[in-house]
Amino acid sequence: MRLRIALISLATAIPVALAGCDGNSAGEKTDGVTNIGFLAPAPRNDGGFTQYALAGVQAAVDADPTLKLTSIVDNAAESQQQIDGLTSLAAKNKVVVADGAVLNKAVAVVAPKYPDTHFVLIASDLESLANNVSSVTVAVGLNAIVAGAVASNQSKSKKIGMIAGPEVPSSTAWYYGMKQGAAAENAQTQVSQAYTNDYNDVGKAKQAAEAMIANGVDQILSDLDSGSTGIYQAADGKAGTGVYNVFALHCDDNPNIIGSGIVNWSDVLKTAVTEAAAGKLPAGAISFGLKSGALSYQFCPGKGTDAQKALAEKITSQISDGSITPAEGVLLPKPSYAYEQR
Amino acid sequence: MTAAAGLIRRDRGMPAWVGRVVTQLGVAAAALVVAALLLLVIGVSPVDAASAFWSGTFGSPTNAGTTLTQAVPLFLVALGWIVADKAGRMHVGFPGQVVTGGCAAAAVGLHSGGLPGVVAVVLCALAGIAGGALWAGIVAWLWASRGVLEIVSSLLLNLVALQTLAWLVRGPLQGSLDRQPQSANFPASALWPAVESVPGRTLSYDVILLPLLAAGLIWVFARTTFGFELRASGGNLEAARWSGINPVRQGVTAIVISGGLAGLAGAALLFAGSAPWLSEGFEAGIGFNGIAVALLARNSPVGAILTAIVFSSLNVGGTSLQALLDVPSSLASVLQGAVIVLVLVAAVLAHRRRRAAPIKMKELVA
Repeated sequence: MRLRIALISLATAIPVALAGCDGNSAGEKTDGVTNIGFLAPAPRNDGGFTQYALAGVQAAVDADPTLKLTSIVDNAAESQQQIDGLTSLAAKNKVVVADGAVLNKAVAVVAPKYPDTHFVLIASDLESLANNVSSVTVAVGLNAIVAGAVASNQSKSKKIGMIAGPEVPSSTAWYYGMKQGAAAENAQTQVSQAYTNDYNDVGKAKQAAEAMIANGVDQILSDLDSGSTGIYQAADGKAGTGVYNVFALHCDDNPNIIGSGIVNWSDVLKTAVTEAAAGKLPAGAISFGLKSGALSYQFCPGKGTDAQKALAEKITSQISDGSITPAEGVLLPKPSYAYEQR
Repeated sequence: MTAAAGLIRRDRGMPAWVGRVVTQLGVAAAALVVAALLLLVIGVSPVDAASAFWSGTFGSPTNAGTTLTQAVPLFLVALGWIVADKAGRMHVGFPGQVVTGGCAAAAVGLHSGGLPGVVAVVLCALAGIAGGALWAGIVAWLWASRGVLEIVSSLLLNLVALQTLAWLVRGPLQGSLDRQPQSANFPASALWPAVESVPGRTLSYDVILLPLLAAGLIWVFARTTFGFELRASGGNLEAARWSGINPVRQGVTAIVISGGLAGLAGAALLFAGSAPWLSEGFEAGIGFNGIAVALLARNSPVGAILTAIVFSSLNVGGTSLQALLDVPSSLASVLQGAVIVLVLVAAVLAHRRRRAAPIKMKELVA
């Protein structure tokens, strides 16, 4: 018994003693070079949101020799892991990109501890303003209005659908936008939605798409990353099913793809990182819209009739000139603090 | 000690605990070799990696605080496994019990803003214990009254708990500004106290549970009637019955206690860490990793302290390796897997050594 008590004391004391061994600070910034860190809850090669954002950061680094992408932490899916990752990155980088809506609370925890580091939060806003955090979002719902109108026009059954990962505002915005766009094209068109809770789960995406197709849906928008493959497979099984992507054109991936609600995350990230490194990105919320060029709807080569292309242009211009105003749920909730629409 | 046992001990040349420590050190050394090889394969110097790993885990009081605090939930789950194992019950419901404990604690914590700090902290801890124990109680009831294998029911209940959590963070407990699957932040009064002198307040006082619970459990097993009955039930069911012990009651009690410990781990994850909100993935693999911690410690509460810290270091250090050296995040998982495999190898070797012992006894008697 005495031996065990001694062992317990030893087992507890060693790590506590080690805690006092202070290592050298990792917070050094190299003269003349601005270090940039990047953290994402998804894999860096997800073929979608994370990959495009990372490409934007890389583009900013390539364009400016004084910028350096020092570290990438990906697959940080859990809150504590996100906080640990952001803490590690903040200690050695001047700019830290937190790429994902789910990182909002983790950024709120870490940012106040590193006032000299500028945090760029992507696709979500903070609950309250922090002076060293800029949250960057894109009004994807505006693009969804155009996609919804085109899909409605393309649909024979007048049933269209949207499949996304988790049911979060940045995803539901696609559904509400499609609903508004479809109603603008044909009031009878029905829009359904499904969430797989994982942007990269091919199996779940295939199941969701097959269920929609079984219910008569013949046009499906995929707000997924590598999970889109499941929708392609389901569409292959039912002739006449059209698929729409988001973020970028993936026309070579499947012959059923009609077009894409392009969200140019790469350009958005390039702009945000460049401005943050130069100290010109304001704290608060910044939303990129149609005017910034971050959004557009594009058809795959050989897809879309002239009437559909004209419809896309017409809806886009009506959104831009304000004759179509976004319905509820199309735009992300606006924060109460400093907000800039670009 | 009998003369024969004394002879056996002298014949082996060293006490049993030395063998256990040597085995664990051997596992650790083998894991280090595997890690070094993996790092060399991906083009990272093991020396640089060791430096980054140290920096991220114990290189500063802040990081050491994080490492130690994150070891506590692992340790609690490991103790839960040890308790159930002593009674001969093998359930794998810890992930579900961590989740239900965390959800119960979160539900209480979110509504404890007006309470004094001590009351709120105790209530949250008790809610966590109750949540985990109740969830484990279902497993125990199914086993005792319906003969359902606890390993099956507990595994399936894990899935139910995870889906319940997914519903809670999108429904009744959802509380973030932009409707993310997260609760609102817990009130400051409900958060478990942390050592003020550690920058970032990363070292929670719940690390005191490490020695206290380890010593307490050893005392219960070694010095109490309850501990004896538990061990007797786990050792030989029929012998226990003939001794007047009710092994079913002991099994139920052990499963419920192990669930309570896992529930407390869930509360610790939420209220002692630096992420004071309920989110979908807050369990973070603690439930199953805790079992590995207990196995690596060979079901020793003292060993579980060290192995929990080792596993916590792997988690925290893995993130640090990514941030500092761009080492893939999956490497830490691979290392944990390697450690578990090595533990199994060590267990097989230990089993063979035990089987060899009676032969020596026969030789001595002859």
